[in-house]
Amino acid sequence: MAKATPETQLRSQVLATVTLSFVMDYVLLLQRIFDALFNSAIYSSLALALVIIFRSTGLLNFAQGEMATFTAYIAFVLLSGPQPRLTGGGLAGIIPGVPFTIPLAIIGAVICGMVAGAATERALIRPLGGASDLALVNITIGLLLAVNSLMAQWWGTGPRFFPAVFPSGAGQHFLIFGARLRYSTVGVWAILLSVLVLLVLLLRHTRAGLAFRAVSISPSNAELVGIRVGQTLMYGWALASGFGALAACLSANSVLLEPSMMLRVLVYAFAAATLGGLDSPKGALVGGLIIGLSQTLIPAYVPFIGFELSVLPALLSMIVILLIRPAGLFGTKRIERV
Amino acid sequence: MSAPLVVVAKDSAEHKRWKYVQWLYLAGFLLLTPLVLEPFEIGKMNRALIMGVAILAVNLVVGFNGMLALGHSAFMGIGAFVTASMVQDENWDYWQVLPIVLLVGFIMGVVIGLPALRVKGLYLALVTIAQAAVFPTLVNIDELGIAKRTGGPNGKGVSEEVIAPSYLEWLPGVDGARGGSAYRYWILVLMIGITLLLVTNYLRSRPGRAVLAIRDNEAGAAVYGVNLPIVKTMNFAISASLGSLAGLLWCLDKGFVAGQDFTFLLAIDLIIGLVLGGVGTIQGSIVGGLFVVWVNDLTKRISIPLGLYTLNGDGPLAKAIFGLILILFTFFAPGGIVSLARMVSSKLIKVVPLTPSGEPIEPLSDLDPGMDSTRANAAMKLAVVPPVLLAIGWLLMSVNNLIVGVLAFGLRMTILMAPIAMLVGSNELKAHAAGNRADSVQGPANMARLLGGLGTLFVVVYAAQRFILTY
Repeated sequence: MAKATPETQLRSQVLATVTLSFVMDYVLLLQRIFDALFNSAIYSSLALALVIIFRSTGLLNFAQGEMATFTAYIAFVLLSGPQPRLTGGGLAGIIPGVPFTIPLAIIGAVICGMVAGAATERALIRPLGGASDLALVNITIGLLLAVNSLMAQWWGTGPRFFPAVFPSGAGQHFLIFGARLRYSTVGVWAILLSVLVLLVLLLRHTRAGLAFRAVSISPSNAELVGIRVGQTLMYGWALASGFGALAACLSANSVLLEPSMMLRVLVYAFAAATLGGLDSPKGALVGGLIIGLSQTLIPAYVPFIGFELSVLPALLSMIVILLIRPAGLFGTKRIERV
Repeated sequence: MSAPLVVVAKDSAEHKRWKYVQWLYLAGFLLLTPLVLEPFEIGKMNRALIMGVAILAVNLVVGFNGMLALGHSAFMGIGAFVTASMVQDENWDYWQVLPIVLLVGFIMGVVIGLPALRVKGLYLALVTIAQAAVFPTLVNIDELGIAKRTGGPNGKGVSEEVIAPSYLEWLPGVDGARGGSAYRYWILVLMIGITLLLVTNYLRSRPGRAVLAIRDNEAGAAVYGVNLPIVKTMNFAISASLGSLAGLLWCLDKGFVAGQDFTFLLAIDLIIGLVLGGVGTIQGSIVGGLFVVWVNDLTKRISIPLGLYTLNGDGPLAKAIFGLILILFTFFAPGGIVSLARMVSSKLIKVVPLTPSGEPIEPLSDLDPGMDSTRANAAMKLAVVPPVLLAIGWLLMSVNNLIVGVLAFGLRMTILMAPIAMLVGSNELKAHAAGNRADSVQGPANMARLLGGLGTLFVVVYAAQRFILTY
């Protein structure tokens, strides 16, 4: 029987500490990943909205986030009745309050979002026709400013409490290897994935989906075979705005409902969409995951980058991917004939 | 008034006279600004001029080179922070910082432009917006002494005041307030004058024409031997350098710089100014800067009672109005205010270019409506209406204060219209003497010349009186 010398004792102690810290770290890592998953889902769904519009119309909708926030406010009004603005009245008082349950309110918000999206396409985008990129960017930026400040005017700039969609209390989580996976994270991913499946079914197996794919490949050819391009684009906008509405309603509880809540999310969603490829729905999903994880993990493990700078890795990765592979991870390469 | 009021040959004596009138208006505007406005309003004018420089920087890339770069707020921030740090920490003078700031801006432009310009269109918009979004957080990094230099989240104040030296006390508005905003206004006017001259010449130079060629037809420019990457990057770097000059002026004017001044929202303001003023025009940049600041100021005064609810422009509404303006301009006036102004001035004057031998390229008389010219009548109206308004306003001023508005309107109309009426009137009389006009023209033309001349005299006397009163 070997006698435990002080040396071996020390060695075993060090070993134990290292192992323990590794296990602890492992749990911490897992926990961080689980925490990041929630945000990833939100980024993915907003990125999906951007991708749908970019695919069909070939433009980046800078107002996507604000339009989504607006629908979250609509859900808020449906849920809790007309809430007077902190100072003054506003249009919010005109909409009669109906006691809605949360799912009903979200469905109402999504429908409102779809109508608003379709109306935007019809009223602001289609009349411009094939205008320059700058003109289209101007329109969406103008919309961003207008919607943002109208929300601030009607509902005030202060944060509002939006009820949680899924149980998110203290003990409401799965315990996996010691790390807590919240019900809300699981729920958000379940919704996101099921909506994505619905989207794929819609695109692959319906006439409208076929028309949409045809328009996004070549609008002029689609028009020649009798597809109503304008209408199809309008449906695309409606679909995208519905996605945005869903993203806003699901995240409104955790980030607190306020007029600018989606502005920061939009930057991440742009990064996610670019990373995955601006015309690829699958890419939006993966891009959202990567951005969400990097936003949480990189500041945690790289001492140079504090949480203050968590936006930096996302944006840098976006720039790098644009330089190396401008089409993104999953996007189709565009052949430009010069 | 479908035909222009005046048709002149390029560089003829009459054309020169019109040009002098334009310069006179500009000089009058510049001179009267520090005299008429209150000090805090001069401060706003300063901010407008600084925005003008920044918008010119954006215009250089977006308007003249066709690249969708929207992140110039970051370059402004870089210029402002370099200035604040050098002036406050190293006790440098603003004039000494100027070359450093231009150089830093140029280098940053090359560093960001080289990779960014490989991507096109909306992708470039994304990259540059990312640049604008990340800048305010970069300022707060603790490493490398950045936060110490920039003041981190608290911002950095510059304690050194900009005071007019005693030999510049004679500048309008400066007298008695040497540390006031009027002196900074004159610094800004000087800097903008130099900048406009340099940018105009740059765009007429070989690289400048290459920049325009790339915008109009990239492939064509490449075929004609334009080195696309180098010209694009250099143009982007010059624009970045100009942007950081705007940052320097910002620091000079405000004496305080903070990261939250240079957010994405500032970048949006620059785009609004760009579209409002006129994409791809030099004057449009300055006009856009003026409008961004003054429209913002005007909306703050809005207060419309709507039943129980009062619509106040003071709150978030200003941004909504800007959004609306942006959309409306994109739809109805994509050329911006400058294109609208050109439309108006094309009704007033048409300049016929000359052939190399010095002849007008098309005969002036063909453009001339001939014997039955209605110009004299139109000129008479221009000459008569403003003074009548002025007189009504003056008479009624004692009755009701509201009439002051009519008076002010009449005054502005007179300032604008009287010299034009005078010139058109004398022009028509000359045409009559040459036998190109019917005798019926004589009366209105005489009237226009007389009243227009009186109005012009009034304007000159008025300006001189304002000038003398303030000294």
